[in-house]
Amino acid sequence: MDLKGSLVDTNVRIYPTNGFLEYIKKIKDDKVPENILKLKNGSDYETKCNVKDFDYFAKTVNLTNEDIELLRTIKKTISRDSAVKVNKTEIEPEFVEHDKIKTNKTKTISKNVTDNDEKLTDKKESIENSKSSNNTIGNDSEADKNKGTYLTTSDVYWLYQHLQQRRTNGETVPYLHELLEGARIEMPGNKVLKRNPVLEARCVKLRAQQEAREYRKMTKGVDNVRMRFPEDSISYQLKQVNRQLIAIGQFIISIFAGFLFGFKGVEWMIGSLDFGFRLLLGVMCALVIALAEIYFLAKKLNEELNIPETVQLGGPPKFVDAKKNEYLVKEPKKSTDKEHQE
Amino acid sequence: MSNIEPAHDLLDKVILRQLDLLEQKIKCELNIESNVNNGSIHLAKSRYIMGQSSVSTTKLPTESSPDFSASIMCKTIEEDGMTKLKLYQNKENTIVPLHWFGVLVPQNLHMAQKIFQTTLSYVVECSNIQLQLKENMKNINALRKYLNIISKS
Amino acid sequence: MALHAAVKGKLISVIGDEDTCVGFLLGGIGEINKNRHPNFMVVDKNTPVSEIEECFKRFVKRDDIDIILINQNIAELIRHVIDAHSAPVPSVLEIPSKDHPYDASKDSILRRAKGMFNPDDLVR
Repeated sequence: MDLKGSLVDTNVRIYPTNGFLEYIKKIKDDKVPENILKLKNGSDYETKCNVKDFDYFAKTVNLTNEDIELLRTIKKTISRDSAVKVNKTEIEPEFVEHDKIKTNKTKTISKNVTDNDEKLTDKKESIENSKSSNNTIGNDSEADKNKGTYLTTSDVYWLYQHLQQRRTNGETVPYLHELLEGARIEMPGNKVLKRNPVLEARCVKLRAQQEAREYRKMTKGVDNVRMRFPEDSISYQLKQVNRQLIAIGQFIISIFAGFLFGFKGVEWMIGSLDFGFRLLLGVMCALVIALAEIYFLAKKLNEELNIPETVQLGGPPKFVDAKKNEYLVKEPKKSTDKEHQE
Repeated sequence: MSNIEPAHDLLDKVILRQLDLLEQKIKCELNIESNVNNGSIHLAKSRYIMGQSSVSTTKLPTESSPDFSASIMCKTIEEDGMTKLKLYQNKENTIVPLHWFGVLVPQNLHMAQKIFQTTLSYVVECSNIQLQLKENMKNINALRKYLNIISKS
Repeated sequence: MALHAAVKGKLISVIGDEDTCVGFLLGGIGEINKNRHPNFMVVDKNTPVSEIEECFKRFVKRDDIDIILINQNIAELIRHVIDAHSAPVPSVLEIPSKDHPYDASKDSILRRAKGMFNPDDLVR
């Protein structure tokens, strides 16, 4: 019975492919985020300098208006293209993300058709290579997959800026999306909270007690030693009767006191009053008090009614008998039984 | 084609945005979670005060109860070329939800109501992020397709 | 904005456990329309999966609902239906409940988004 804790770390983890790793190892720069350094020099590499104060520029990349414009034109060209190519129209853009595999298939098919381009086949091979290498790693051990070093989003941001910088310097560098192709993205996992052993032991004990209690209640009717119910003894019955009598007594006394107050008390306070008026006053007072008392009495009686339902879980024979008797009373033809009841 | 360079760059940007949105969504869900937890505590407290069955599904309106409309709705607006959802207060034909549980309800129930109302704004924020995620996925697919076509021709 | 004011808002619907439903309905999103259809569903441990599935499909079909909130543990039960739903409206939002904290690796949208990078992830 382990519980899942809520997420603490919201960073997405990116496990790079081998091609990506190769590229990272080639980076020659001394100001590199921690995770990339780790990837470069092996997972147990400890960083000396504090990279936390490394300038993590604005973490949001906003699309400019030109970008949005470009997107629109690209979408248009694609839709025009798909209108020409019949086999492409099968896949509507909404469904693309839904079954990516399908599109992949069709992509490879279309690639095969126009296989004259060398660049394309190269790319495809590299993708397949990375995939197969990924698979071999994955097949070896699932645990190993999750242990390796990973990149966070801020590292990828850094890489993006880094690449852009180098591109403006005139170097030919791969694009980020080519590097990220095939990379495994993992969501942060929940921490599993182990149950406290003390609590567990306590729960076991309490459950055992509860079950024992229920069992005793269940077997009360058939166990000769415990055949005598506490409910059957005269003292118990008398106590019950006493309690109810006291409740009713209190009710009557308070009403009577209320009546006296109206009938006599007001006269003593103010002076002589008309008898009819005094009577009316007394009855009014008594009525108000009676209303309030009835509420409390009903509440108390209701509590007492609820007790057998909650306590008698196993349905002792006495309760069952009572129900049977009710049925018997309802049946008119068994007149002898009825007489016996009364 | 002069479009190749910017298209590659754009795809980079869109992918970065995707990663960013993923994290935003998780953060937003955590916000919702902490709010729901807080609200549940207040619900439990009012249940303790009013009795076990007083704050439960049995008090909620059912199909046989008279019709009413929601006091808080959401509507779609266009902003920066993106469709967004926004909370919107409805005044017609509404009821006071607190009255399902009685006229004099404990303060905790009022508090729970307030907390869940703020949660609703997080919910809308989260679904906005989700919409953007979907839009972004479409963009990525379109760009990839486009680059594919260009590299072929 | 004047143009938008004329447009009537759309609903937020809930499929969730007792506390989630009671809470969000207290927040004021509950509605019972003219045909006596509520926009919420309370799921307890005795509710059959088919009923949840049917209710979810009904909510998706209704055109006056914009957001469907569903508890993540309930979403797990009808995962195939949620995965199949890809239209932008209504957007299905998986929310954590008080005894099931949010698990990012189960969320449909996040799984789909991460499949953009590595198609192998989608198969699993």
